Order: sequence, then C-alpha cells, then structure tokens
Amino acid sequence: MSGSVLWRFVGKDLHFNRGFTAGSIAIGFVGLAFVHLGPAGTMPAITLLITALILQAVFVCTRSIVAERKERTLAFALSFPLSPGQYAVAKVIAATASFLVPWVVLAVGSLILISISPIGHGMVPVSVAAWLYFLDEFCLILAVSLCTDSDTWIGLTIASMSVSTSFFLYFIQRIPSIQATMSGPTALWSGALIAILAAELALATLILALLAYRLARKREFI
Amino acid sequence: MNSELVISQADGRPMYLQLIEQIRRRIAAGDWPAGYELPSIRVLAADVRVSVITVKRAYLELEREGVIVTRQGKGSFVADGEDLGRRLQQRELEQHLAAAAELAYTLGLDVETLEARLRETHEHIAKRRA
Amino acid sequence: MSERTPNGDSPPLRERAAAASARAAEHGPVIELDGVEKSYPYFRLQDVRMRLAPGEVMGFIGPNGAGKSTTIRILMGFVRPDRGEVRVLGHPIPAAQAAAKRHIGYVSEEMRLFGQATLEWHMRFVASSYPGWDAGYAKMLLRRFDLRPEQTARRLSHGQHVKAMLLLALARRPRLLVLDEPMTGLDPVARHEVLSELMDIVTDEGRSILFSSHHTQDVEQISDRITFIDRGRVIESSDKETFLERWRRLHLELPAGGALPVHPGVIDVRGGGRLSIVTTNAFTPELGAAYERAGARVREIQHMTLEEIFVAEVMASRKESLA
Repeated sequence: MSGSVLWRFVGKDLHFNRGFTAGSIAIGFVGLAFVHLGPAGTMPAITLLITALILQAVFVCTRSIVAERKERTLAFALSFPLSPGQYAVAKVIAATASFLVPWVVLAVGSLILISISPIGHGMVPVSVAAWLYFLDEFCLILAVSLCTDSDTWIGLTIASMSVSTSFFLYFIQRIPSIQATMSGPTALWSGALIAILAAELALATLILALLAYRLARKREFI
Repeated sequence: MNSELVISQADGRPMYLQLIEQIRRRIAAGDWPAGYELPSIRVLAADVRVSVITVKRAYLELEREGVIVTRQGKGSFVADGEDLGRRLQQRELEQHLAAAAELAYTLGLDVETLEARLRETHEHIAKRRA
Repeated sequence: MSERTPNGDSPPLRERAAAASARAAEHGPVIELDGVEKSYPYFRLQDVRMRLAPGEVMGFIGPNGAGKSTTIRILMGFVRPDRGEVRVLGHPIPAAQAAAKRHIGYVSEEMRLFGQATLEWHMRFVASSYPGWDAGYAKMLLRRFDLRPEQTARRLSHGQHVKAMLLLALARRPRLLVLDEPMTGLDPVARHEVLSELMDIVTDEGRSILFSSHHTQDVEQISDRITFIDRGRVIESSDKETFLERWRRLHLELPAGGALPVHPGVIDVRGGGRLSIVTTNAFTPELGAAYERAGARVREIQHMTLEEIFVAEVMASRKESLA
C-alpha cells in the first residue's frame, strides 16, 4: 500500500516536471543542430547542451524539492500514508528520472552526431567523461537540495556547478594522452581517461551514499 | 432532527444548562409528550453543533430529575408521569420566586412589601389575560 | 500456548494475535502520548501526555508558541521526539506512521496544496491513495463549501484553500482527523459549515477528532476533552464538562473590616474594600459555604467561558513561574 503511494508520488513529480523536461530536451537539440555549422558551431553547441542539462538539474531539484518545503506543500505530501524516508526515496527517484530523460536523450544524440558527422571518433571518450561529469553535478545538487533549506548553499552549489564545468572541460582536454587522441579518427580509451570515468562513477556513488546516510539520521522533516 | 434546539453564545450559562432548559420547555409546552423519543446523544450533538459530552451531561441531569428515562440500547424517552409538564412549570416558578426573594433581600425589602408587590403584579397580569 | 513451532508462534496463534491487535486498534485509544520530550534551541516540549478515545473530539489549546504544532507534528511522524512513546490508532509512531496515516486526515493552517494543480487533480490524487475515498461525499462538500474543482490551488483565496484541504481530508472518511488551527482565516459562515461537518463526523462513534485552535469558542462548543498546553508543558487534560465545572468566579461581599479567608485553588482575587471577586479552579459548593461561614456573603457564582479560563490559566502559570 505505502509502496504504491511512493510510486504515485514519483508519477506526480514526473507529471509536474514534464514541461521542463521537454524544454531542456528542446534546448539541447537546438544545441546539437549547431554542430552542422562546422567548427564555428561547436562552442554554441556545447554551451547550449550544458545550459540544458544544468537548467534541468537545477529546475528539478529546486522546483520539486526545495519549493515543496518553501511553499509548504511538504506537510500535505507527508500526510499521505508513507514515511518521510519513503517520501525522500520518491523524490530521489522522480528527480533522477526527470534528469536522466534529457541526459540520456541528449547524450545518445550527441554520440550519434559524433559518429555520423565529420568529427573524428576520438571525441567519443571525452564526451562520455563530460556526460558523466554532468551526472555527478546532478547528484550534488540533488543531495544539497534534500539536505539543506539554505538558499546560500543551494545558490553556491549552482554557481560552482557552472564554473567547475568550464574548468573540467578545459583541463580534461589538456591531459596529454587525451589531447593526443581527441581529434583523431578512432576512439582511444587511455588509462587516464578510464581513471577519470572511474572517479566520476565513484563520486556519484559517494554523494548518493552520503545522502542516504544523512537522510537516515534526519529527525525533523518539517 | 431539524434544530429544534439552539445554543446561544451570548447566553452566559453553560451549554448543558441551556440544553436542559430548552428540553424542559419543550416538554412543559407539550411539544414532547410522555413517551416521546429524544434524539440520540450523537445526533443531537451534530444537530446543535455541540460536543457529545455536553449532550450526555444534559441527558444525565434530566434523567436524575426524572424528566426523561433512558433504556439501555433503546434510547431516551420523555418520562411518563402525571402532569410532568405542569411539574416542570412549577419548578420554574420556584426558581423565579427564589430569585425574586434574593433580590428583595439585597434591596432590604421586608416580606410584607414583597407580598404586596407580588399581589400587584399578579392582579395586573390577571386583568390583562381576562 | 502449547502448540509452538521452533520458528515462533504457530499460525493460529499468530492469527489470533493479529486479530487481537486489530481489535485493540479499533477500540483502544486513538492517540496515546507518554512522556514525550523534544528540545529545540529556544523551545522545549516537556513530558507531554495525552489520550484520545474513539468517538471523542479533543480541543488542543494554548497560546502562540506553546507547542501545539510541534506536538501535532510528532504524532503525525514528521518530527521524531527525543524521548517518550507515541501511538496513533494503535501504531507506534514514527516507526509505523505509514500504516497510521492511512486512517488519518490531516489539515494544518500553514500547509498548502500543490499550487500548479487543480482541486480536481488533488481529489483524484488523494482518492488513488486512500481506499476509503468517498466520491459522493466529496461532491457534496464541493457544493457545500462552494468550491470549483477546475481551479488551481494557487488561485484559491485563503478561506477557499482551507476548505479545499478540509474537503480532501474529510472525503477520505478517516478514523482520525488531525486539524492544526483549521478555522484560522475562515469567515463566520464558512466556520459554521466546517463545524457542522465536524460534528456530523462524530455521529459515527468510531471516528475521532483532534483539533488545535486559538478560537476558544469553537473548542468549547464541540470538544469532549480539552488539552491545555503552555510553554511546552501540558497544564491540563480532562473532559470538558469537568474542566469547565471546576472553574468559577465568586462575587463576595465581606463584612466591614473582614479579611478574605485563604482557600486552595484560588487563582485570582480582584477588588479591595468590601467587594471581592475570586476566581477558582477547584470549585465545589463547599467553597461558597466556607466563605459564608467566614462571614462573607456570596452574591453570585458565575460560570466562566473557556476563553476566560484560558487567559486566567496562562496568567496564573506565568505569575507562578515569575515568583
């Protein structure tokens, strides 16, 4: 019974987020379309893709998690037959699903684009690292939104997300083994790149584990 | 039940006393004859929007006075009994007389003056009714 | 007890135990709070005890910041107490709150519906989570509360919003209604409608209501029990009639030069000279007689409204803590 209430809550959030999910995908596709302009279109394309994903991550977390507390709908939600823990699980599932939809669509779209366009396949490993980096960023804002009420912390997280993305993209291209193969015709998975992918996955797992630990010890939900 | 009884917020008396008095009046006036079934406690409570415990207390008090009887599982009924209505009116008279005597005492009137005043009032009313 | 399997109770025994606990949930107390404590930086809830029986309406009153909402959040499972035991409808809280909340309708003055969704969406959403949802009753309440289902929650006025939340709670046909300041901001007509609905609910002996309110008149009118909280402590929790009965105001006339004898339970004495007004929370007819024996004349014994008692009680407890 309370299990099905949990899934109904997931459905509710997906329903409320649907407009934004569609919007992010649309922005992302516009970005992908820029790739056709050749080298001149690369920067706008990357910028729009990053914008779409960060917007989606921020929207999903602030609208469906932070706003629920601030607009005091949380008490209404918690009056349903589910525990605060189940409520948090529903939030995590719904937010992750809402983020993963544009993430998967745009990631797959960009990889297909790379493979059919004149851009060399050497871009694929770097792109995968970038997509996983976005996933880490999403996990971070999700965790912060579920753990704090503070606008300052949420604002700082959002700001650091966009700044760190630029740094990440800058530095990853300057790692020698990656730099050497990036513009090549074939995808080469160097040791450094594999290490980065592993670190990214480990970071996502760590953030989610810390979040679970923090939520399990939470004593007040309103 | 369609709100035959009303609780007044402006009435200074506790709600259970207001209920008791209104029920007594209904019986005294003959609206609720002997054997008449009173609404159940919860129905009357919902009807006048007053708590169950208040109605319960009013019914208990009326039972103690012998005005109503409660049969387990059946409900509460206006008690049989010769001239219940009249008896209730008598009781009301006693209460008013006591209040009058109390006031007279405070004002320092003696019994003779009080008697004379009562006679005067009685004659006045008899004349008006005739 | 003879037929035990190594794994524990044999099936019939287990079934019987389950049936017994179901029965206890039906007929036992609806709300049980024992020794509940919760500390915040500037506020402490201390040793809160409370009992609500099936079919009863409990009015929960206290000044602002006394701990009403915190207590209600604890019994709803939103906040975990530092100490103490909480059971609602027989379920331990917060552990089994999901099971308990299946039979609770909760409305708080400070809670909001989902702004972007319509009332109709909310009705469907609630209906899908509660098997007891009564669509016919919901429809009737829509009419009675004068609400339009196609309106989004954001566009509802405060009064409409409160009524919408009450509709969603009432149409679940819950065994327990928990209402935190439900009447705040309602106009007199709406309040009258809501009170009528609440009283209709308790015509069913199995349903109970806990409601907190500043509006002592509402509490006095519909409560069977009154729990009084001030600065995190339950000052009083008893049935309303007994509670109101114990409080009286006596107007006394003293003989010239006479002094007022001291009696336990006297909360307040007003007036000098020959006329005194004494407020007591331990009234018995014997008190009047005692004053008369001491030479005073009892001119009048007045009942007090819950509002007057509320103020007197809080003032008295504050005076005590200052002393």
